[in-house]
Amino acid sequence: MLGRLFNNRSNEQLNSHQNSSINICHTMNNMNSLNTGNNIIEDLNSRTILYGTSNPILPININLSKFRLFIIQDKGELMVKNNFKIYYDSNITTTNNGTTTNKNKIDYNIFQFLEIMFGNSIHHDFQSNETIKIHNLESLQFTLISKHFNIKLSNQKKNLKFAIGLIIPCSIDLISTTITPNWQTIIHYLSIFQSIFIKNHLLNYNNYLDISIFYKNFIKNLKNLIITPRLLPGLNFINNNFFLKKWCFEINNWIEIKDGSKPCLVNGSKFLLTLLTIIQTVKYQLINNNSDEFIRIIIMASNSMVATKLIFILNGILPFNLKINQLNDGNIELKRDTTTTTTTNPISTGTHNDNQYHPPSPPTPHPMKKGWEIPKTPSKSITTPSLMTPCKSLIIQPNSSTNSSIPTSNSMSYLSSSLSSSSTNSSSTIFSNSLTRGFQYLQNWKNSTNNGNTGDVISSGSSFKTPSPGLEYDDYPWNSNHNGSINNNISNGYSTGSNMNTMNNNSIKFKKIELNSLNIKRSTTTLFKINNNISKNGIEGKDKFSQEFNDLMNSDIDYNYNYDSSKSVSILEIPFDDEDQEDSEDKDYDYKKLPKLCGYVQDYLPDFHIQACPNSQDLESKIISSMKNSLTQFNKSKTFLISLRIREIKEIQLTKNDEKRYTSSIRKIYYNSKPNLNYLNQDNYTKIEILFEKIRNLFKQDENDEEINKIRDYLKNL
Amino acid sequence: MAFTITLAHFCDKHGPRSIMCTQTTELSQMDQSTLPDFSKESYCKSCLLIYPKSTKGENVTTLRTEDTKTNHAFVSTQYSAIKFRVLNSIVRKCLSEEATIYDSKPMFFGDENRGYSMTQSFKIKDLEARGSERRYSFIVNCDQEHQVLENWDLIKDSILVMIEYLQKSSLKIELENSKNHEIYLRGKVQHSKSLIEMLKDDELFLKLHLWNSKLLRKLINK
Repeated sequence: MLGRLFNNRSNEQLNSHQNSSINICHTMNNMNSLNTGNNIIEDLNSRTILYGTSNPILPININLSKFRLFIIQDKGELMVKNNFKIYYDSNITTTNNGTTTNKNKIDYNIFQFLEIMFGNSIHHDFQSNETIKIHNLESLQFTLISKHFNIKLSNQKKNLKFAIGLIIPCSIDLISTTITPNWQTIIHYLSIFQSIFIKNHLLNYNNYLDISIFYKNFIKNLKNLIITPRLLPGLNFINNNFFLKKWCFEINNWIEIKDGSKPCLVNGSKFLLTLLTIIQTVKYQLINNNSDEFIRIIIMASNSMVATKLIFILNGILPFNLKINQLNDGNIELKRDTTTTTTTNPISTGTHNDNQYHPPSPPTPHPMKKGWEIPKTPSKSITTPSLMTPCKSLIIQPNSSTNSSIPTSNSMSYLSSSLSSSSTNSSSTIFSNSLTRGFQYLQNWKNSTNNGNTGDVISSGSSFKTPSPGLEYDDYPWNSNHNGSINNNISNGYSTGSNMNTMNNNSIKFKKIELNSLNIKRSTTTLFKINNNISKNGIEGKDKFSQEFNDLMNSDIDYNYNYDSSKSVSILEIPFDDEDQEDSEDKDYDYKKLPKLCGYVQDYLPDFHIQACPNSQDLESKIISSMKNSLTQFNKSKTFLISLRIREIKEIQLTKNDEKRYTSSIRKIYYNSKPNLNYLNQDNYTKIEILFEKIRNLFKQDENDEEINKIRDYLKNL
Repeated sequence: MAFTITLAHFCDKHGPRSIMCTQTTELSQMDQSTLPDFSKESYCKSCLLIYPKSTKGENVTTLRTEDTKTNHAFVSTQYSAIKFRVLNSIVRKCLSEEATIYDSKPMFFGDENRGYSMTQSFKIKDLEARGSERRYSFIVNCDQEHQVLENWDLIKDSILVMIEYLQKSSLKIELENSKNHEIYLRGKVQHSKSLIEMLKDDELFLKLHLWNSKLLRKLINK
């Protein structure tokens, strides 16, 4: 599919700003999906390991209908009653016959705040051509962002003064969770609106359809950026072993079970090693995004839990300074969220007689005697009877109560991926086989659904949102038993929140921990505080400031004189009155904008650097489209597309040659169960190999706290 | 990252003026921030940075707090000796060019030339002022836009507690004055008056300097 997408396009001309660099067709397709529901799949386990908190992260409610965009000119005619000319208002629809209608009933008029937005009419600011402003209009409960720019036309003597106003319906308290973390996106779109306006509408009137389209796309993107919980990296580096132990544990599990590596027996595949090498190579770009390259790591998977674990592993090496001095280590009990624990185990045992729910038990490091057999070719690996037959009894049957949309989409994703692989081989036979096998799988699924399997206990809402691992054909059952017997604890590969506090593994004994002891206060976009110390007197935030300031105002100030002979003046030297307390100063305002990394989402989110999402027929076209869009801001756009089912990692790269042209390249970094070492940074590859070796050794010893600390030190210097 | 905090005032006589500008400098370069002696003829009591009476005769122009841990010094002067033109322009923009609402709520503006500023403007009631109120603004400026935005809450709350204290204290004193029949009757006579006079705190600017220094220190540590 990618091949087709790129056919005859590698040197495709990027036309004007608005019809090539931003893909309008794709944008138009998204217009109707503004009010789609929550895209995020999360449970206690994913919250804990990805977001660092066991508490649900409540999304910020933004009323989409109250967004508003308008473009206005300040005519500079102070004596004229109507000094302002409105060019565009998103709340007004103009029909073909010229009549206008209001879309939403909004209880304010733009003219109410135009003077505030533009400033004093007499004392114009002539110093700058472009100014950005934020006004908070408390009475209307919204924030007004405006971009001001001057244009001088050839037939005009003076500059024309314009402004693009954007109303975001959030109060002053939400600015730091809604606007500031997404400032770059907001500014980017304001620039797009400005460019389109100047190019298409300044001299010629038309229907502003182009701006409307981009505006709706902007709202959709902003909404996703606001409501999608972002990963909290850096937890492996704090002096609390809980996350690091869990991380090592998951890596060890993946190496042994997924990659099929056995100490001294089987080397296994190098899939995780390859993937972590890639992450290690681009980790600073994923966190800071300061380079001229936009990088995306996209994991295509139908199984949210496997994808969540993989993202947890990837997240573990990302550098993110949480600036924590002291944290308690363990001995605290993990709070269980009983409302969600059952939803995290939607796996049937696969036997029709066993309808009872079995609480998941922790995975063992050696559930398989032999590593997972990695298929030689992607197409064969999926459907060859030799692989499927022994596992038939282990294939998890879909729950009959599950909404049909999920299995269908899985089937389709299976087809899509097969097509994708086939196209690269340019083999019609393989294509045909894959397609046929895809339909066979679809048929198998239908048959299994008709059998009425009701094997597991899932709350209806969450079963819909959380796809069962059993539904994913490609993800090998974690507890494969090569003796052919069915293990009742087949689902124990997934350490959920319910078993996190009882996790035992050969030599590692996980201490119980209350995550709340970390005192992580965060929103979907922002980390506000991470500290286990309660502030003095239990006062935090502005109240603490207020008390400190009152104390200061009621105190006497110490000062002494210092004479500056060169300037013949005296300096009053005033020492800090709190130098001894400075180190223990509470991080009440340890605000950190979290990087745009997220977990498993149902739909692809173009603005995030790391994410996992289910495969779909149009996923690759969406990715390519968003990569092209990134070229408006960056010189390069690179995507590492990871297919979990066929264990393939593709690197897609678009490079901007000039303003109108770009070149594309695709290369397979991991394919046919082998990494292509030519495309990997050898130093990083070796570093990750050493890391894996350290983790493997960790599980051979009894006391491991010291080893854990060594791994942390190694990670810090990675 | 170079934050400055300016207490600006719309003087009844002189228009937008900087009363006190607190800035960060490295210890090795802090002498550059020391303000030389300057003519105070164009200043009135309303817009002048006034030091405690005990410093009279010392020709003080600069308040300074050193922090060896961060290797920085925080310096407050009437105006910035280093960024005079830019900060003066921002003060004018805030108090004259923009349609400022004196509600203590933050407003943000900026461009590449003058950096990015978060301002919180407020009024203090005074019967002896024009319109019976004096208008001030705290302006936090930085050349990097994201630094201001990413510290939005820290700056906003840190400034807000100062404003709330100043308004509350001035109201208390104003209430006391309103009982004084003589002051009430001649309330419409306009006088220049410094904040230290309105709040009856000789060391007010020293305390504001220290608070600003703490905020700048926090911003450096982040």
